[in-house]
Parts: sequence; C-alpha cells; structure tokens
Amino acid sequence: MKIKHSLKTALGGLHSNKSRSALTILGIVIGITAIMLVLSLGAGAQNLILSQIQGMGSRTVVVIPGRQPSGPSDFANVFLDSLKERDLRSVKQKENVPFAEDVMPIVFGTVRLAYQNETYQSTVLGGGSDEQNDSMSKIFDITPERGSFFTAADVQSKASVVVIGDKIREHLFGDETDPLGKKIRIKDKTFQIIGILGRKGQVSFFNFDDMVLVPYTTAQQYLLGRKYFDRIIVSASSEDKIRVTVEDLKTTLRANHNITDPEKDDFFVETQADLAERLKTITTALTLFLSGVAGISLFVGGVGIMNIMLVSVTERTREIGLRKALGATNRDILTQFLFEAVLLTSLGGLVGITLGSSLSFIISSIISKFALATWHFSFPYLGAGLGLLVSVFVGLVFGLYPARTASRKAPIEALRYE
Amino acid sequence: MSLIEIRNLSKTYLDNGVATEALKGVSLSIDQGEFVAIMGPSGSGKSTLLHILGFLDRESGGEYLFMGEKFSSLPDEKLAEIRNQKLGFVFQSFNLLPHFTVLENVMLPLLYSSVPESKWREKGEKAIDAVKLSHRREYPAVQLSGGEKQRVAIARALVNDPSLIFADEPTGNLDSKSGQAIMEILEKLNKDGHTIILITHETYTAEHAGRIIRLLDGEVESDTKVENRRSAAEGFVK
Repeated sequence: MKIKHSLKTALGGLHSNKSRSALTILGIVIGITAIMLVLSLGAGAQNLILSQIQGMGSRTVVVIPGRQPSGPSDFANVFLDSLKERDLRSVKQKENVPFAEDVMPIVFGTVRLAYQNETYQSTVLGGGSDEQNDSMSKIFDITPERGSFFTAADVQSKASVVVIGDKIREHLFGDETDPLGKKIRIKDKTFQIIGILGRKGQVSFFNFDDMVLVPYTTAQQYLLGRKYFDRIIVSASSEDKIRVTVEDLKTTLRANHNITDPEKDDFFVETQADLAERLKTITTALTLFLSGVAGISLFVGGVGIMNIMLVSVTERTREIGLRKALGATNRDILTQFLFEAVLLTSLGGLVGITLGSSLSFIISSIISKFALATWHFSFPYLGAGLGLLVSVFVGLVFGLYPARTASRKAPIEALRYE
Repeated sequence: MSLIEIRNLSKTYLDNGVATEALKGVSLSIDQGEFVAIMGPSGSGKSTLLHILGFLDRESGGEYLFMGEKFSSLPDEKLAEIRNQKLGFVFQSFNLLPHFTVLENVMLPLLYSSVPESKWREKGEKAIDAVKLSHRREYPAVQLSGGEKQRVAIARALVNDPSLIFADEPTGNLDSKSGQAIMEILEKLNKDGHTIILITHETYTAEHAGRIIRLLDGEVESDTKVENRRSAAEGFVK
C-alpha cells in the first residue's frame, strides 16, 4: 500500500473519532505549548540581558571590591572597602593603565527622599569624574531628558546637586509640577535638581528610573559616609585592549594593596563579555531545566496516546478483521495505526507550537507594555522545529505497541469480535 | 480440475487448554461455477469450514487444494494476497466502514491490491452498478438500509473480480424482501460464472443453490444436488 493511501486511511480513522482524537492530543498540545513558552520567554530574557549588557558598552571593565566568588555558596563579603581614592588615582595614571579611556568610580546606597510632604525610599548612585564633565553619559549611555548632569567642578566641590529618575519625578512631583530647579531633601541634606532622566527602563542592572544620581564625592561624604568605592568602572580604548586593560588594572591594584599572590586578591575585575557569558549560561541552564519539566508532560501525553490507541485498537477489532479479510497484510495494519498515532501527535505538536508562540507573544507584549520596555518577543524557530520532531517521535514510540497489537490480530478472531 | 478440493480436513481449537474438534475429517470438492450451500446447526463447523476455505484460518490436519495448489502453508502475506485477488467475502453483519461512502467501501479491497489507482474508480463503479446502487454511490454507508448495506458488501466482494465468493448468512440480518434481492444478485453472479459458497441454516435460502452440503458435529452429513432449485424471482419467504 502506498504512503498516500496509508495517510488517507489514517486520516479517515481519526476523522471517524473526532472528539476522542482531540482529547487524545491534549497531552501533547500542553507539553509542546509549555516547551514553546519556556523557550520563547527564555530567549526573550536572554536577549534582554545581553542587550542591557551591551547597552553599557562592550568595552566596559568593572573593578569590584572583595574576592571573586568561587562558588554558589561563596558570597565573598570580605574586603568590600578595598577600593580607595588612592586606587582611583593610580588607575587614572596613563603609565599604569595606558588604554583606559574613561575611569569613573561609583558608590550606591539606599536613601530617603523628601519633597514637601512626599517621601520616597530610593537608591542613590554617586558617580561622575573630577576631570571630565561627560563621564556619566559616556559610561552609562544616558543623558538627562531635561537639564544636565553634574560637571567635574560639581564633583570637586561636592556640590549638592541631583539628577532624578523618571519614576522619582512622578512620585514626588506628579505631572503638574516641573521639578527642574526645585529643592529636595536627601537624608536631611538639601539638593537642587539639575536634571531629569527620561524613562529608560532597566539598563545594565541599574534601574535609572528609580534612582537619584549625585556626584560621588557628595554621596561619599554626606549621604553614605564612607571613603571607599563600590565599583570603579573603566572603559578600554578599544575591544582588543580589554585583556591588556584587565591585566594592567590587576597589576596596579595589587601593587597598591601589597598583594603578591593573585589568590589573595581583595578585588576582582569583570568585563562585560564575562558577565554576558555567565548570564547566558544561567539563562540557558534555566531554560533547559524548564524544558525538561515540560518534557515530562510530553512523556505523560505519549502514554495517554498509547492508552487511547490501545482502546481504539480493541474497539476497531472488527474493522481490522475486515481489512485483513479483504487482503490487508499485517504490515498494512501496522502502518495504518502507526500513521494514526503519528498524525495525532504531529497535529498536537502543531497546535502546541501555535498556542505556545501565541501565548508567549501575548506575555511578551504584556511585559514590554507594563514592565520592561526593552523586552522583545522572539519566535523560537529551534523550539518549533524541535517540538514538531519530538511530537512525531512520541507518536512513533507510543503508537508502535498499539499498532503491533492491531497488526497481530488473527482475521477470524477479529471478525468474530462483538 | 476442481476449484476446491479438500481431503480429510480437520480443525482442532485449543481453548484454555481444552481441545475442541470443530472439523473431523471433511472431504469434498467444489467445481468452478458451482453454487453450493453449506448448512448445519450452530456448532456444526460450517463457519470453521468457511474460514479455512477462505484462508482466514489454517487447517490442523488433512489437505486443502485451491485451484489445484496447496496454499495454506504459505506465510500470512501470501494468504492476504490470495484473499485479496481470488476471494470475495460477504458477511451477515455487512462489516462496512460506517463513515466511508459506498464507493470508498467498495474500493477498499483495491487499496490492498496491485491494481493501479487510475482504475479504482472505474472498477468500483462497475461493481456498484452490478448491485444496482449507482444512485447511492456517494452516500456514507451509515445512512443506508440493511439491504442496501448488504448490496454494498457484495459489490465490495466483487470489485477484484474473484473466482470465489463466500457469503456467510448474507440474509440473516435482513427482512424477507431485502433477502430476496440479495439472493437474486447472488443467483445472477452465479449465472455470470462466479462460484458461490453460501453458508446458511435456513433450508429455504439454501435451496437457491444447486447443491447442499449438510454438516453435523464437524462431519459431512449429506451432500445432495437440489432437484427443484428455487429462484429468488419466485418470491422469498423466510
């Protein structure tokens, strides 16, 4: 019998039992939908993270105080105050780190803001440079929508000036008042608002919408009361100078801290590429894990198919007997039932792919509308192809036993069956 | 040469370890073009005989020659081919695929044959014409009356132009009028040269045949020529 007719026969069989066919594929539909959702949203999350990291500039190198965590249980909370003013000076010297284009220290902490009767808890980020006016814009790739950033002079004089994020503007001032030039209190000190950021969403782990930005000198002295830095951000002059810059930074800081054994470093240097790689590994692992969980539902769906196919074979015993009496061979019957199973699961796979990608499109739209503007829907072509392949495979595997049972029925036993 | 030649044919079933002898050494021969009725009460072995003659089952002992050849020791695939090419079956309960149309049901044996697909429709329509159901060709089988269903089943048995047609209680599920129509068709097929083996437990139906073989307890009780053959046209009374 030709493939075309096997297919037709199988289709006819499924058509005769429409509602049961629909129920049978439910397990496969759910499994494939889940896998599509996980893969699509996983890819979306990965793209988001990668684009954020790239948003901060691929040439960016970050010096972080403390030891690099050696494993998941190692939180490395020692030496958090190891980056000092002296280190900043050394890093800025051309003979120490020749390919450092921009160098900016940052500090951050939680503070309470107040404007008239409104108060708000928020994060303060101290940054800027005492030599250059545009460090903030260059390193973070942000500029105030209105007003401007603090200047090198502001940093030198520890000026009480602040640039506020959009969410803070909304919270403290609403849409009526123009905040530019207004005075707010941050931790009992009065600051003048010199700039307002537009809504940015998350940029490289900093949600600037929910932040106040001040000169780092001001933040250190008046708001956080500390002499050390939380990060020193360095941007290399070009991408192929990143490695050299990392090594130069390490040498310089080790010299400053009298460290000879690299194992005893009280700081670590991270490049954006490292970070991207690490996060990619995490999201991939998470996606794989969740796909595995969804895969279990596919297995359960497959067992369901086998179960119902077995019932179907019993119910259609007379049909099998008749076909055999009319000249169908065991192989013809095997092919017919196997085709039915594969058709069922492939149909389930297609429905699942459609449902899964539609759902993840809807979820992505909701996320980008209400939470993260930078989230994008991505259609998981790999997942779709794989999903279809897996559903065909499930049909073959779980359809084989019922199909064999059908094909081995003796024609008279089958004809006699009531 | 006989179409069918059996010598000392026996069949023993094993049911949960208990052996039941359904046929105990049956010998008979049937010629090409004959219309034979096999009769007997239930349990007499007539269905078993039909299954063996129709290559749906294998004998336990004795010999079965079909067209002078011994086929029954061949593999299943070969027997399926013989059933498909040489034999036609008509069952008491019609055994149509309910959601398929009349034409599709009739063409079903062609699906398993080597007949090229381009000829299927023509052959199917010819067989449907032979049972006078052309007006029902595209109807789903489920919508037909019992008599019409049995006519479809006969058309299906005819479609591969077999040498031998088995009819297992073909009128058993029908009213007398429909039964008469079926017997008329079988008579006509016999006149056209098809060999027909009819299984029935009704003497009246059996008397349409030219010869009646009576079975009892797995043995041939009598094998007689029908002197006054009935014709379906005379009227069919159950």
